[in-house]
Amino acid sequence: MERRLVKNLDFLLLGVVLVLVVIGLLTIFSATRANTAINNGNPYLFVEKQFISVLIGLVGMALLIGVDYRLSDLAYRLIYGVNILLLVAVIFFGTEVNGAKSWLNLGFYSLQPSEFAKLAVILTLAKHLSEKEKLSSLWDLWSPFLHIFPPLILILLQPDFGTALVFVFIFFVMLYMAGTNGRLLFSIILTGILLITLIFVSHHFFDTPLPLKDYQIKRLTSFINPDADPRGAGWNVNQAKIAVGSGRFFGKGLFQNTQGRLGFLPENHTDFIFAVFCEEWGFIGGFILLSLFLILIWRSLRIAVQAKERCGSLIAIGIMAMFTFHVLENVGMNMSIMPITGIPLPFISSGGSSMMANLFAVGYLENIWARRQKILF
Amino acid sequence: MKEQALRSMERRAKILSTLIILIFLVLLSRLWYLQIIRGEESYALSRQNQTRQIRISAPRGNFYDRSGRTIVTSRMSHVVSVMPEDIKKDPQAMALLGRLLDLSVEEIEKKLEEKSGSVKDQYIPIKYDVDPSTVGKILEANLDLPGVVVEKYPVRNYPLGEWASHLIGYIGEINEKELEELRHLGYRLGDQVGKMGLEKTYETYLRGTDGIRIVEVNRVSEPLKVLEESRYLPGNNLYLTIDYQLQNEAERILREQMLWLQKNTDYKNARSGAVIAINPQNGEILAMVSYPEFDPNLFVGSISGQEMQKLLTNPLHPFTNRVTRGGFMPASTFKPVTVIAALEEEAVDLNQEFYCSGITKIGNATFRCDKREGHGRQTLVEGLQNSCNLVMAELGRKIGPEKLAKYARMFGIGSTTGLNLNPEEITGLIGDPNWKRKTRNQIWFPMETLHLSVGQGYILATPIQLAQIYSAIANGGKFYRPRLVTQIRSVTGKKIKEFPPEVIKTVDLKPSTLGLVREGLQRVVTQGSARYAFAGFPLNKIPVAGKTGTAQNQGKDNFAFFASYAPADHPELVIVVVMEEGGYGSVASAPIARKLFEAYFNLQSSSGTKGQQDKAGAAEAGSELPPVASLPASTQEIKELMKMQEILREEARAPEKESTTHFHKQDLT
Repeated sequence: MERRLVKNLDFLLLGVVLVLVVIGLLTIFSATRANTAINNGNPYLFVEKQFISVLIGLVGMALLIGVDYRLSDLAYRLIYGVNILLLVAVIFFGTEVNGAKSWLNLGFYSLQPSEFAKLAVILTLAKHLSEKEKLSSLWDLWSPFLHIFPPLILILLQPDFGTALVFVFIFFVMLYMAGTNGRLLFSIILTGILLITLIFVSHHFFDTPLPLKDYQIKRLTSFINPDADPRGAGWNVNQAKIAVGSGRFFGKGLFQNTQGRLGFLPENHTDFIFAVFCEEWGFIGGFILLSLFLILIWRSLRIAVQAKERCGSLIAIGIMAMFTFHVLENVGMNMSIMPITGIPLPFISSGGSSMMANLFAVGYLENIWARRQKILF
Repeated sequence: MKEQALRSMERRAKILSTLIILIFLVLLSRLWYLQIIRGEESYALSRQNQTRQIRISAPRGNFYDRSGRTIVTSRMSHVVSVMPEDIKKDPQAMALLGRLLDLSVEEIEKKLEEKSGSVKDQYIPIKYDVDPSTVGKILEANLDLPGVVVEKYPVRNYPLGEWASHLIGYIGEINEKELEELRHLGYRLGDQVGKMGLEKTYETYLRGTDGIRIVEVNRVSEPLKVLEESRYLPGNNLYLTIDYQLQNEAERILREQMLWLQKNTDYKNARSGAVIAINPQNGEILAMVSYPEFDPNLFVGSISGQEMQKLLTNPLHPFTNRVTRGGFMPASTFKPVTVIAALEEEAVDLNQEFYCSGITKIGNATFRCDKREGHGRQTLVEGLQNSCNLVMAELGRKIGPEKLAKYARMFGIGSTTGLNLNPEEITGLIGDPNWKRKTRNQIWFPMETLHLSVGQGYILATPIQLAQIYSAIANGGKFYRPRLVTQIRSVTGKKIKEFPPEVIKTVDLKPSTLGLVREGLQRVVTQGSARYAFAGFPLNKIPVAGKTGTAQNQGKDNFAFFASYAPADHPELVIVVVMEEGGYGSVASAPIARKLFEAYFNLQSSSGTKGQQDKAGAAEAGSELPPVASLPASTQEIKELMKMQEILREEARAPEKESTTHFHKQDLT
């Protein structure tokens, strides 16, 4: 059976992921090798760390392929519970970086629970939605909302606005694919947008308090007019745009990025790694990278559509939504068409938790794909 | 139901994939826009981010005297520059820098404001010519001073100080007007340019080509490595006609003579003057002194406002080059021209005799000779020798003011000599009846003809114009372009430009005319007013020809002139000396020329001692008084003259626009 399982894997998906991982390692090396301020004089520091996460992620992925994704109810409750626990823990014991308590320092490893939370929420929400008979009225949606709110609130408490947005995106895509009444969903989204608009309008005219801090708003809106504060909030936006643009058609070549290496572009191995990649590889590289992501998303969707049953299908949809939003948001903010939220580019950005969670997600996709045919069971 | 759900899902998956493709299309077009459409622009920006251009100033060309001695050069010093964006972020660093450089934070900010507008990401010089100990302190504190760099740069150095400062000039930071004129040649704010003298005249030759070092920097502008470097090319060198020794002597002798006059005579205000020594055979200027002088080193780095104010408000106008921009009534030094005019116009014979009674009248106005009792019978040569006003008046009467003015103009009065030196020389002035009618709608009085014939009235000449007149007399009528520079050569010795002797015009004179005038001028030295000044001078070996002049001055002491050339038989050197408020030309100025001839011809100075000079002075005071110049007789005459002075002053100012113009109020001799 193991052999048949292997034979049934989506090798294109696997290949694309591995290529992305290699591109990621190379770009991380290029972005960090000369930055002695953060690499402690070891040019390989970040690559080594990332590589270990890749190894763990690949092992986890292999294990996840082996175990049938259709877990017991108890397992799902356990996943949900552990997830909430970690998100609570990070609020109390988390290390604050860049104003957000997102990291749990385990001594040997810094864990970012919100990265795993995405996968956990996808899995449990898929299970929950797959058991729902009806999703046609507002009343039918109370339980999915109840399902998503605790982790969402906890993430917002960190506060990690970017990840929260990912949650919202995943949630609605999954609701949509689960068959929720289209009009209903559209009205909810519209109401949400109106509500947010109302909050801002009210703040503008009546000075009512905002749920976000000032600097967060600045960061979020800086992409619209980066020159309003070119040395502050607009700096990253401008420098990323310069980095991407300066790659021109063919790029400056491997290790030839100047924007990142010389410190003009901060966070160049995490949030703004796409800019570094584009600086070195130009439009050709950017085109190839985006194509790889498109294949990844296409294959995810294909798996969702061809999954044997509803739960697997929804899991795949959730994962696809996660990848899509990450790519859209990260690449978008690197090119200043999306607000700056610190969410990583899957398989490329430096960050162990994200890498592992993404590889685990691919494990799930392969799992679902490999088991799509009834004959197997 | 299941079937329906599956169909619905496939439909929704299609919608979703359409959305996803749309998202990717948006991302790709944005990528295309940024990298292809805006790519070059971004590339330039990233390049600008990554690199800093540091200009390495090229030293200006050196000046050498005619024997190759270095007159002006450059030395290496240090300039402290800052990257405005870096230092502005750090008030502590700004304060520290201010303390180290002895500048207030406001002063630094002002400098940054002034210059940061035009160029981005360029270091802005804050202080030039910083001393080594300060440089050491700044380098030690460099971790606390982000964006502050110390660069080597060449500083203009005038090792001889005030020496020949009027012809050398000085340099200073380019101003907006100059920048506008020179921008097309690559000049930029903060550049040093010649402001006066040869420094300005040959600015574009003297200026070198700056080197450029492009360094890679990180975000805090810390230079990481040199990406490109182009070496600087020093400016071209000037080879002057000036003779270091002679210039030296001229300055020293003029100064000493003034001190001597201040101490031993009534002429306590003998504090300014001019000397020019020029070769009449080619126009090379061997010495050019205008006193008082200034030290061009003051302008290196930055001159303090106080010092500048002191120089600018000095009533003696130290910045005025009296040789080219001092307009003087030439008085008796003009008389040779009158004689030449009369002879060339054939108004008189060579041997014609005149009679000097000491006084002549036109209507009610009187015109006197220096010698009250008169010279008696005078030939032309004797008239020149004795500087007889009545002989000259008679010549003037015979040829008329138009012809007189024509010859004055022919000899260069009223036009520039063609010397290439900034600021441009003044033209001087020569008037005749036509001119007077045109410019002030007045008729010409006969008395004015007499005045003109003795070098007074509507006539102003610069010392260099006088030198040109005497050169022409010495060389037979040729007017060479006066030159200060013979060659401009590159550092490698390549000839960039050459200035060979150039005859601008020739005045045709009869040999007999020349002979008579030369004879007269020689007799001035052997038997006339300059004989005491040249007592003991080996005139048998080096015959000298010359003419003294003394101009009376309303409210001031007399101005003393001496114009001369030697050897009289084959002239090599013309010397003109003007001393303001120095008294008599024979006492104040002629001895200076004598000593310069001695220096030039390497003669043992026989009258260089104070005692002899005293004797010469005493002799002059005893026998030559009543003075060479005569006082106007009537109050009417004085009033008229004062009015004329006013007119002349305005006239002299008119052709010059700059306020530094120096004008000398003078009355007639």
